[in-house]
Amino acid sequence: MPRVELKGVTVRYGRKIALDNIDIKIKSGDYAIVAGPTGAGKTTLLKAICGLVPLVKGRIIVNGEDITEVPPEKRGIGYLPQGYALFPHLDVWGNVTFGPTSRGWDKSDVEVIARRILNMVGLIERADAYPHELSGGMAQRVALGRAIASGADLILLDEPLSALDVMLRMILRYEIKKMAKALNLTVIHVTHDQEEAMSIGDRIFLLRKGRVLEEGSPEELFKSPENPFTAYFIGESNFFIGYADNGVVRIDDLELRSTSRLRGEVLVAIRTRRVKIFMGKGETLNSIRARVEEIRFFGKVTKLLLNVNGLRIISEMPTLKIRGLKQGEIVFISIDPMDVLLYELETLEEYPEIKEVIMNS
Amino acid sequence: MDIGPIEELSSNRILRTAWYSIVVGFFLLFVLIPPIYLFAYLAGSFDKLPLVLNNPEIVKDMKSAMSLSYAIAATVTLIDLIAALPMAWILLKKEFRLKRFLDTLLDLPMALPTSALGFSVAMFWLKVANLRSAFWAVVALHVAMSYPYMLRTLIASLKAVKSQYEIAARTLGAHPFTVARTVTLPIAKPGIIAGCILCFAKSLSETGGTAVTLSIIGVLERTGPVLIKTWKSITEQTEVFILAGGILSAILIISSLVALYSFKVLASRWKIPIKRIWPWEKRISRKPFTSIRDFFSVFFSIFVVLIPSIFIALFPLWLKVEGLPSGLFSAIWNSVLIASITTVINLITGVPLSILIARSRSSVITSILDALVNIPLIVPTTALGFSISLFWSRGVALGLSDLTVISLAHISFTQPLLVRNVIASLEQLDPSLEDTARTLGANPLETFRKITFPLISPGIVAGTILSFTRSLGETGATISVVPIAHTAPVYIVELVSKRAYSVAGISCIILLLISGILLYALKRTGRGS
Repeated sequence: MPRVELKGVTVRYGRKIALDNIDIKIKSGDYAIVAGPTGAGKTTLLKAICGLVPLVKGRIIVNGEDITEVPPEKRGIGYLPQGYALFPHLDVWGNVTFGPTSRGWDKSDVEVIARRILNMVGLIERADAYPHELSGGMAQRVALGRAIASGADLILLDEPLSALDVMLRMILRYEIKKMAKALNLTVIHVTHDQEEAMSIGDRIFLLRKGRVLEEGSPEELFKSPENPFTAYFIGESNFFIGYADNGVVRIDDLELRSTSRLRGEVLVAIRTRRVKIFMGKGETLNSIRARVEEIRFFGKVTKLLLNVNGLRIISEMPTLKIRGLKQGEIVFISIDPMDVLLYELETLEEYPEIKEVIMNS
Repeated sequence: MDIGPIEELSSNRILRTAWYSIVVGFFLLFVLIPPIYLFAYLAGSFDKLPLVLNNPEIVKDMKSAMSLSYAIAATVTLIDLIAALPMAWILLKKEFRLKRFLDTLLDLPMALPTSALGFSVAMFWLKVANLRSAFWAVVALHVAMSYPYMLRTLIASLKAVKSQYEIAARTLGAHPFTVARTVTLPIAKPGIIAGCILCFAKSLSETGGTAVTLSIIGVLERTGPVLIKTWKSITEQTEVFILAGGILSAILIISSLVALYSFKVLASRWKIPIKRIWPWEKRISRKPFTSIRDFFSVFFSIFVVLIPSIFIALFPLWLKVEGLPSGLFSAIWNSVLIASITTVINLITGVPLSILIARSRSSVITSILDALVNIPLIVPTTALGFSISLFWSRGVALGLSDLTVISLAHISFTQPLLVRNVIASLEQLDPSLEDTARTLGANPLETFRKITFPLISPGIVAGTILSFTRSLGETGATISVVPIAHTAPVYIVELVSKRAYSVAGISCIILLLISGILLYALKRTGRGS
């Protein structure tokens, strides 16, 4: 089980900086998620680790060994690009034996390895099928098997689930993780899907514009994001501009208590899931009267658009808990001071995405 | 890890750079330096130029040949465009019986040596319409020869227009003709421009068939390339005629480049007017008009392109067969030999050149190379051949054999065909396939052998057949090196000029069969991909 360390990794495409001084440490056996919006440099990060793009500066260290100058074929890192890149002119067997053969292993060994791997991924019966004859799930298993067969125990996955439909995506993401854990693999999995990131990541690295904004376990990033962009990208949040003083933040006419010590003009983020609704008058701190303006049904959860003293707040509740609630009804909401997250207002300039959310609410 | 010494070398940066430099050097030396040498030669003989320019007969010939060449090329391009556009539409969007058959047959003139094509087309118009005008006879030949190129280019560019745009326009209330005019054609415009440039260049460059046509019609008028051929065949090669040929070649090279690049710039700027919708558009979008249009396009493709091209197969009906042509088989042998040498060298140098261009698009040097590769496709092959022959006989007096110099001339204009095809298939190749192969343990050379090569091989095969066929059928570049070279296309030109029509006819039929087989092979590989 390898550990991976990136020190000041910088990659440039022409004048454009794709990766900007990336410092990352991944523990051996971890299932690491690299999340971020389109164009954040996620794919470039994977390519840099397996040696497919040259670094302008920085070092890549795997298992304490500096591999920065090692060509890709000698790194032994498994890479599954988007769409898996199964070789279309080779059948499943040809794909899986490609690595061992290229590494010049003994012919009988290659056979044994390929059989073992195909048995493991449950595709020994389809050994003579061509990639275009495989379903999305099978193609994924072949690609993973192919990488493992070449001797890799560090696997890089680039949006492995994006080509599948929603139902399959949910099932297969746990499947990959289970397989990775069973085989003692270290995995770096790239995704732009925050739900995917939170549900399977041991650790999440949030990438934006070639920089790591924040890293942590899914719980840490959800509960106490240090960066407003994390609050925006991982889990849904309400955003406001307010004025904080002495543990109280004022947004228009609304006053909320916060555990943050920040003062002055601030950017306020409140998780939609942490805006609790009571049908009767609540007793907790920050309990406020609100009118239900719109009810958006999402199956298991329901999103409520609330009008609180003229301010619009979105709350996400389990559908079962708010049965019978109608549009126009008066409810009470409560927000734990722990969940009223405050950030310096200047940070807003860096994140036009958040500005747009504020303007549209 | 056990890696062979060669594969180890392939990862070596210096060696790879050296190899690419050789390939690029070869391209420059064999394709670009000769024309530059031609200009240097003319500049060097500056004091002797009046010898040519003060000769009223030569100047008159040059002027009339140039104006004839350009008038023909412009007319041919216009006719091709008007006739091929609706035909491309029909072949792309309509289903009818014999469509596939017609589709394949219309490629035949591309595979046929133009001198055989010229013989066939000229005979057709002479017998059927008693056509005696040099201008129209050559136009008829060039249309038959270039129509398939226009058709293929138009079909490819119309295919690239997503049908959603057309459907959206229809649902917004436009009639089919209006949709074509305001949506499809503007989007497909770059392809249409490319088709026009291709046809114009083809017509300007054509030598063998034109010479055959002019001698059958029995007129003294000559196009630019034919005039070079005439001067080159004058037995006592005095300095005057070499200079005259050089000047005419230089003028053809410069004027064709200037004409086609300025056409490209102007046509790209020109916007198809789409603001107004005329009331008659609705009417001509409907039935009798669409049927008339379809009928005329198919009629044109059959009676102006297809039948004249294969008319020669009927020649035993009106000419007595006077035995087999004795010199034909050795001529075919020579042609095949030259085409083979040309194609092998094209493969060895062209594939690496394609990889270099396709893989490093961002670099300045490769984008210049990319543009340079197109030049031999635009410049008349006779002028190119003249400059190559001049360069190798006078510039580098190595005493190369005629066969070698002819092969060099053929490489110059066939290599781009291979390179274009290979680049196109490289661009379709998903780069992540090669990336993954590397991470699985294959070094660059192994990756090429096991992944890249098998996946681009349809493109390589298509480019190979194309360059082989073009070399096999070429007249202009051959006779501008050696006027009486014994190759199959030149053999036909010679036979026709000696009025040995019967022998020429049989030779044409044999070449027609060979071309048919090559075309079939090309289609098969095309379908395979």
